[in-house]
Amino acid sequence: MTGSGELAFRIGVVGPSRVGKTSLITAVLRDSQRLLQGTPIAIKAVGSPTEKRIAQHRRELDGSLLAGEFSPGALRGTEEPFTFKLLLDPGVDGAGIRLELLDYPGGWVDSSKRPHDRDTDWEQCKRFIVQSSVLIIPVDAAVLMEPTAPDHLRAVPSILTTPEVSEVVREWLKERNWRAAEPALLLICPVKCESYFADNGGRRDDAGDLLQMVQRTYAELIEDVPEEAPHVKTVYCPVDTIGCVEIVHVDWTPDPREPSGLAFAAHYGVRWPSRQNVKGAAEVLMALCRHLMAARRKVEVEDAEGKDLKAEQAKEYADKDEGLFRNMWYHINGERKRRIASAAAKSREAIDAQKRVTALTDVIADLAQRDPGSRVHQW
Amino acid sequence: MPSADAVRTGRTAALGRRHTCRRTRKAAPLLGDIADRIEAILDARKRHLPQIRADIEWWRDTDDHIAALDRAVAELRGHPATPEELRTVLEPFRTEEIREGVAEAIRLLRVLETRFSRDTINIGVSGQARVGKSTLLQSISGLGDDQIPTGEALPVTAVRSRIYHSAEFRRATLRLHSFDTFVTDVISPYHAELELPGLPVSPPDFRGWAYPRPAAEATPGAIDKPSYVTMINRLRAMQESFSSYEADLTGRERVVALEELRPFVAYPTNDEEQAPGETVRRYLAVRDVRIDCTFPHAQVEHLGIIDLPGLGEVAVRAEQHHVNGLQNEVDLVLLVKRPVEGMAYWGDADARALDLIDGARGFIQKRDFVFIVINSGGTTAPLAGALHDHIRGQVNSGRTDQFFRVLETDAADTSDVYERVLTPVLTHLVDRMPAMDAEVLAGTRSELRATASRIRVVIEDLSRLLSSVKHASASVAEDLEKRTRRLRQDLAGSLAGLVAELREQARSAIQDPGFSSAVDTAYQATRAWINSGIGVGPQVWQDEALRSMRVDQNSSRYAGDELNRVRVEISQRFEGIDAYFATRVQELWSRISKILYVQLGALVEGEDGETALGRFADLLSGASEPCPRCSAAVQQLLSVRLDYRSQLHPRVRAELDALTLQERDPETGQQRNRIVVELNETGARQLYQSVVHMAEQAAHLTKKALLREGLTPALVLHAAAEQFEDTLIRSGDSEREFKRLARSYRDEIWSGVFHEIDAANARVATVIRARDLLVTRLDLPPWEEA
Repeated sequence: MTGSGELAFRIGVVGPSRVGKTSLITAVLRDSQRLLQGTPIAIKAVGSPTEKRIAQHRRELDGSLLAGEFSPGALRGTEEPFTFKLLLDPGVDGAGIRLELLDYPGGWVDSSKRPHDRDTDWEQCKRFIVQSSVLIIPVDAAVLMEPTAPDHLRAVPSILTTPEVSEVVREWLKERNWRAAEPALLLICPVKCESYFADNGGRRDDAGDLLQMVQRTYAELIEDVPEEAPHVKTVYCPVDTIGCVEIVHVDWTPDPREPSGLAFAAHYGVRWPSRQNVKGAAEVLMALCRHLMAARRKVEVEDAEGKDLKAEQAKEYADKDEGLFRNMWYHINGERKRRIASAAAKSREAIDAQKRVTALTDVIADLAQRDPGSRVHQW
Repeated sequence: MPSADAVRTGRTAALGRRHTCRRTRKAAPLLGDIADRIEAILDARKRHLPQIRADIEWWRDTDDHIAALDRAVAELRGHPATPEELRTVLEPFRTEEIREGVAEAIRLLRVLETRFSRDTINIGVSGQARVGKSTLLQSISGLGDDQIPTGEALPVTAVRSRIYHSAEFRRATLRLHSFDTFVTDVISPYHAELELPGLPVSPPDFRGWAYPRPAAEATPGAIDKPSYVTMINRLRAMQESFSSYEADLTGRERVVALEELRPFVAYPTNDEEQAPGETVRRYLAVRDVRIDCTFPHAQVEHLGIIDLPGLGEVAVRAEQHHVNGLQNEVDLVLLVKRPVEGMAYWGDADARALDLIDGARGFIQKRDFVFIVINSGGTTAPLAGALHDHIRGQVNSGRTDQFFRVLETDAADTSDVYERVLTPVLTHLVDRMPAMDAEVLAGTRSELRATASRIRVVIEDLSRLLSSVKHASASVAEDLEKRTRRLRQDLAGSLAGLVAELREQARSAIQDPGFSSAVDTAYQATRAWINSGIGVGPQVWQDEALRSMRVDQNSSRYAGDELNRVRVEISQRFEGIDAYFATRVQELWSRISKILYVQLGALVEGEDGETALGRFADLLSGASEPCPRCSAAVQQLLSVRLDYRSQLHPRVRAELDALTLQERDPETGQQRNRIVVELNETGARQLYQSVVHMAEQAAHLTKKALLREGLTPALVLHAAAEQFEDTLIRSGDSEREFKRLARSYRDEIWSGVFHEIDAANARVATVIRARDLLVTRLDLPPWEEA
């Protein structure tokens, strides 16, 4: 958080190269209005770079789908850090939230693959991530679900850079521990889940297996959270980042460049009628909103309480008896009037602040009532 | 054969004597009583014969049994497979002594048989040469010099006769030598005494035999001894006169008139010897002579007088013959002694003669068997008295007739002989003969018991020896049971090891790389088929799709048909892993058959896997003692089927469901076509891509599902092996059927083991069986039953 008023929240993303960080971000953002329909909350891109970035990714994806094929490798990977800037409007005046979401080349997470000249950049990225109140871990669902042999399973941590991601998460958790008063959210988001859910046009329902695999793969990390930072909420949100694709085959290819000796590639076929149909992004967005609203309300409550106190003090000051002569003098020179006006203004500010608190409380209550979705799991 | 005249003459003579016989009976009425009693004695003797013969037979069999036992022990002792300990303890076992005992028992029984089977009571007449034996015989028998030659100078009796009283016949029956018996009985003893090597084998051989001439060929050594000179001269005389008796060597009997008997029983007289030309020696062809004639006084049927060889005569083996003759043929011996001047005393020769006769009495008391007859004819009373006195002192220890009765007679006086010799002798015989026979019988039986007892001792010794090393020779049954138990344990252990290994595989999360490889191969083949244009090529497929769509005016039918075809094809292509499954099942069968081979050896040798198990199942069910439960276990193992179609396809079938055209719209819930394309080339291409994608996805999901089910083969194999092990080893019938199996195929499973043990035990068993047979025989010998 960057302060009251138009608060700025940072959202960090940590995951390996090509996992689908950008796809997840754009999936969450591109249909946010539709996804938040029925809520008082609106989210929009701030500034043209963010808009362009989202549009560009969408174009690439749409083109790929129109061709009847989809290959994650065909999408352009992130080569330079990019901060998505967004504004979340809860529909309460003065309670808007600026969001900053850092995207960066996933390869930087793994020091063995990170170019030496980008170490500084990675440190900046990591600082951003550590300072974020929300940390998203995108996980390639196919890597978890497609192993069919022991060597495949052995390669999973390496392909998902699980140790490196866990290391970053632990640093984030330490920072959260220092800021125990601030709400914090850890989102574990399996992506490209189309082949494992039957709620989005797929025929198979391996949701339970996926959750089990995530729990098994990130067991230590999930167990660390309540120990390192008990106030951090850990939420599992699997996302169909495209929706109309299904794995048709996978390759586990021997690759000496990979630490595990195996390279994984999933090949997708496009499900007719080739229309993108993101699933799970709404749940991610909703989780984000609940977290952000709660954070915003907390700030607003503090602000309202401050303002209320100031209004009280101003009223006392306006009504203060300072003796006949001074009372008369203040009346004459307008001081009393100014004081009364100031007290009234502060009283109005306090009332407005209280109203925002009330409004945000209503929004939070509204979000709380909404179904978090069958895919979501919270530890 | 006797001539008709001779026989007639004999009969006529006999008839002539009957009158005399009757007269004699009147004069001596006692004789009738004696005759009856002798007959009764002989009848009583006859009644013993069956038992005696049975005894002889029994002892012969016993000897065979002892011989069998001896052979069995020798075989056991000498066999290299017999434990050293057993061989050592059997070393002292000998049967020679007891077999000698058996031989003696048989001999005694033979003596008894001969004694009891005689039709006559025989009185032997013995004595030194020139004591009047022949004279005495003549007096008893009434025969003359032609039948019983006597002489004052040279010995004249060449062949001893047996003379029987017969009221009917008067004849001599000669038993003649064959050339062989002549050589054996007559020539051979001379050769032996003279130490002449070899024996003539034919008459010409004997005729041409080069006997030494003592005078001319005097050499140092035995030939120079006077007795030997005598013997060689006799032998040469036999040879030189061979042609005189060669014709008589017929080996048959010949009856001759008593008047013609002399050449056959008497030595040539001195005149004949001295006469030029060949001396006739027909007596050499005679084995013995039986004379039937009517006795002048002792006209008692069944009475025989035996002329025993003269004691002290210079004759080869004379004394031995003497004793043999005594034992078998006579019931009482008259030892004749003549008190001539200078010989009226009981000398050493007399003592030896008495000893010799005494040795032949067997179990009969001395006093019953030998009577000393003093032939006082032609001597003086003082000489006779002196001899009496000397005999009383020397033989009877000073008491008259204490040990031996002494009779005196004039041997030439027939009446005197009858009165003073025959009458007391016959009276004695009829009085004492039953007791004498009982003594012989009891004495023989006692000897038999002693022999049997000695055999028992030897057998008991053997039993002790055998029992002391019983552990050394394993019992086949015990060993088989032990081996069967071990076989079952070892088989259980090996199978348990295999089952544990399979269980580990079945429970392990680690996938069988063989299975993964088989699935991957099938999957790659399927993908290759899909990507090569679903079996027909992309363009052909699309052209056909376009034609079909245009005809049908929709894409549904073609797409639907194609998806069905693809589904079936993918399924079939995954059946390729059946080859792997077959290998696994064969592998299991092979491993189990190898385990069986290790434990069962030659029974399942030479075959492997399914063939070996099939054969084993047949062997189990077709055993002489069938093992149905074990056979069923093997059959069940052989019925294990592991194949894609029956085991895995049902589990992965759902993955192919995606290969259908229709699906339910998640939003509307309505059925809809999964693929709808334009009816043009683009649509055909899109349709192709969609079908390919769906096929690839189905193949991919099928592969994943199969690999997920990767433990199924291991589970099936483990279950099969465990079931087999369970039924074979732990079923209620297992132990019983293993014993049956072992009994049925003992020699195949433990090749050679039981053959050796069998053979070893058979050798021991033979000994034990032979011993037991002997023990059983000895427990109840026939004479005890009697």
